[in-house]
Amino acid sequence: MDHELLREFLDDAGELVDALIPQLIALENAPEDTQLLNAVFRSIHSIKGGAGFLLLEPVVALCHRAEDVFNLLRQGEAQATPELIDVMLRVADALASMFTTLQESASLPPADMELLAALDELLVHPPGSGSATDSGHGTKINSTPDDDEALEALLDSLHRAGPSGSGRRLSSSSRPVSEFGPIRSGHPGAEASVRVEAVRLDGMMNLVGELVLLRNRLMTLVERDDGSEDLVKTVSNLDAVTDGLQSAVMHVRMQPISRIFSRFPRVVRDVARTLGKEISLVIHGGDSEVDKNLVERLSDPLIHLVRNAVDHGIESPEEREAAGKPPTGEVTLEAYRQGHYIVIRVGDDGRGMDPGQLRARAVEKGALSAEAASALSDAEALQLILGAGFSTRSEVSNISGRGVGMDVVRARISELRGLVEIESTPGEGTWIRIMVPLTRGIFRTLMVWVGSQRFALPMGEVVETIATDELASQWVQGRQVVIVRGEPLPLVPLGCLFAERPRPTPGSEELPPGTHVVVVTLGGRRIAMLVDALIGEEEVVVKPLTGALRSVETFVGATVTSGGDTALIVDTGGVTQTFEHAA
Amino acid sequence: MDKGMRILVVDDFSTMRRIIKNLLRELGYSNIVEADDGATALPILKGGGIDFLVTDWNMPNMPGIDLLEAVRGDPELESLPVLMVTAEAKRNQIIEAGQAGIDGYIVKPFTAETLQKKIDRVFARLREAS
Repeated sequence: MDHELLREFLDDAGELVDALIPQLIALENAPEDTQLLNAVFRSIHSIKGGAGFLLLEPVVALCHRAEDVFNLLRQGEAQATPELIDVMLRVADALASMFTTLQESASLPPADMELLAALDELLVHPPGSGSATDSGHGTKINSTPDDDEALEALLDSLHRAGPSGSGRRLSSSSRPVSEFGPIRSGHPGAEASVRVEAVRLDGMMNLVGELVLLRNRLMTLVERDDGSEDLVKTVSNLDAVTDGLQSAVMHVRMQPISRIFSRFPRVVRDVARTLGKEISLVIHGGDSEVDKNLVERLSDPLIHLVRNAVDHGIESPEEREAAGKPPTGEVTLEAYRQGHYIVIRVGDDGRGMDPGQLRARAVEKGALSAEAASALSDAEALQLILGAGFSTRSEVSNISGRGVGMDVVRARISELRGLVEIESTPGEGTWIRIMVPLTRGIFRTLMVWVGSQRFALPMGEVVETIATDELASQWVQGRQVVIVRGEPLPLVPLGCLFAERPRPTPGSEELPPGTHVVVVTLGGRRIAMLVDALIGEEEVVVKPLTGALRSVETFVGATVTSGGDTALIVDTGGVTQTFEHAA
Repeated sequence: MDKGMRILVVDDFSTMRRIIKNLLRELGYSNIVEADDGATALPILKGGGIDFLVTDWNMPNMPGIDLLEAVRGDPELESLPVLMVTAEAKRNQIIEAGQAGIDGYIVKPFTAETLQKKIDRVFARLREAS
């Protein structure tokens, strides 16, 4: 089989199947929308057509029957009932899983007999048609095409009789091509777009990463050695070109976030149907573009958040009506860009969360002392649900599981160097906000000294830097804090973690003079990290950690600085947790 | 058959365009242009230089039948040879398409050999008509 062709088919057909699911759900809500129905029909039709050439018999078998069912719908002989849509969603799932199998270069097992039987059942007893159809549809299912020669003969007769037949001559269209002068759309075979394997793009991105590092290094060298004017000029041109190349390569890897958003109508529908809830899903900003890698990695956490919103957030229709709300709940999914970040918000107009309850629960679970819990602001108390094993519901549902949710979401988002923030008002609803850098691989950091080593703090988390000479420290409930504009911020001396210095003990209120704290924001919390000295901002390329360091929670990766040294990139969340747990 | 003739392949599914293009190339036809539906095909056709139209029938925006109507209604294009690509050989559809002015049809999936036969048939039919 032609592998190039198969890959193209899997890409194209995969996109059609991705789009099919929200289309089917829209069709369930608007069964009269013939345009939508035709679009769905056409997708199945196209997939079947391509699969036929590629000899993917199980795909053809499934699509063929599904097409017949949609034909009944188009002819008004069946209705798009939830039961019919259920079967069609199963068809979409089955196609998606066949495509995955093919992607993994495995051979296809035959199509699911049960699903084929369900489709046949729909053909024999079309839902909404009132009665079982007669044997007429039986012949439709097994319809054999008319004989080719007979049809050609039919076409011959039409051709001779047709109004255009007599006046049409071959001569005008069989002239040699050269007579036609310049060709309209470029040279033959010119294509508007080219397909590239993702792995090649990844390779390119890595090379650009290396180039950025070399550029940074070269710039440092030129600065240090006071290079000639020509050299400085050339390096500054190189700088600009490198930036251009970097953003061009990044742009090639961008995909609209709608690639994952399109899965959500399905998720919401299925969960709502299981729970007997009425929910409408509102999606904004699906055209925001992010790195393709990111699109894939955001998928699971977002699915989790949306399921949570439907399961825990939105109340039952009765409960809503009793609270004076419309019975249909609303889940909102939106994405927008903010600087170098993509912000995704998942909201619901459900029951909201009660900070008091969360505090009580944290104490009950032994995660916090009663004093520590009461010291938390309401906003901080909401962030407690991001902790491990923290479930706000006493009963366990099989939709969002047993409190293994939000901590996993947070961990996944931290891996992407992103943040999770929660806002909630009891009785009104909850918003979860995720903020993730647009691309992996390259990002800006603040370089600092701790002991004899350089460390990089992700710039996206840095709020400000303050000289220790301008700060006072205090001990509040067994923790050292610094007071920044009247607000106490927990202090994390990085030297205790990275330079084996002793932890400060209560009473030692002195901050080391002549150094700095870096204030970072962590999911709504602000933390002051004590460092030995600031070096400056630097763009770095993240290298994954290897060997013994891989499992260390305090670093997200390593990088080579412009000076040629290795620096570890600090996971501010991990560092804070490690420090607090050791307390 | 002039293997240098300029062929416009119209299909909304890019895999299908690629398949048809591959088969045409296999047969020695390499002067191929593509369009993804009737609406984008028409300006290319009106721009001139297309010798043979191979089009899908079920397409969004401008389905095959509307494209045919526009082609046959244009004095410059009325004698353009047209091969319809269809999923099923159904009598009703052949009658409808035949009346709209197609010169041949081919049922998916097909081999290069079948495609050549169908192309020969289209041009034989046109010779007969002229």
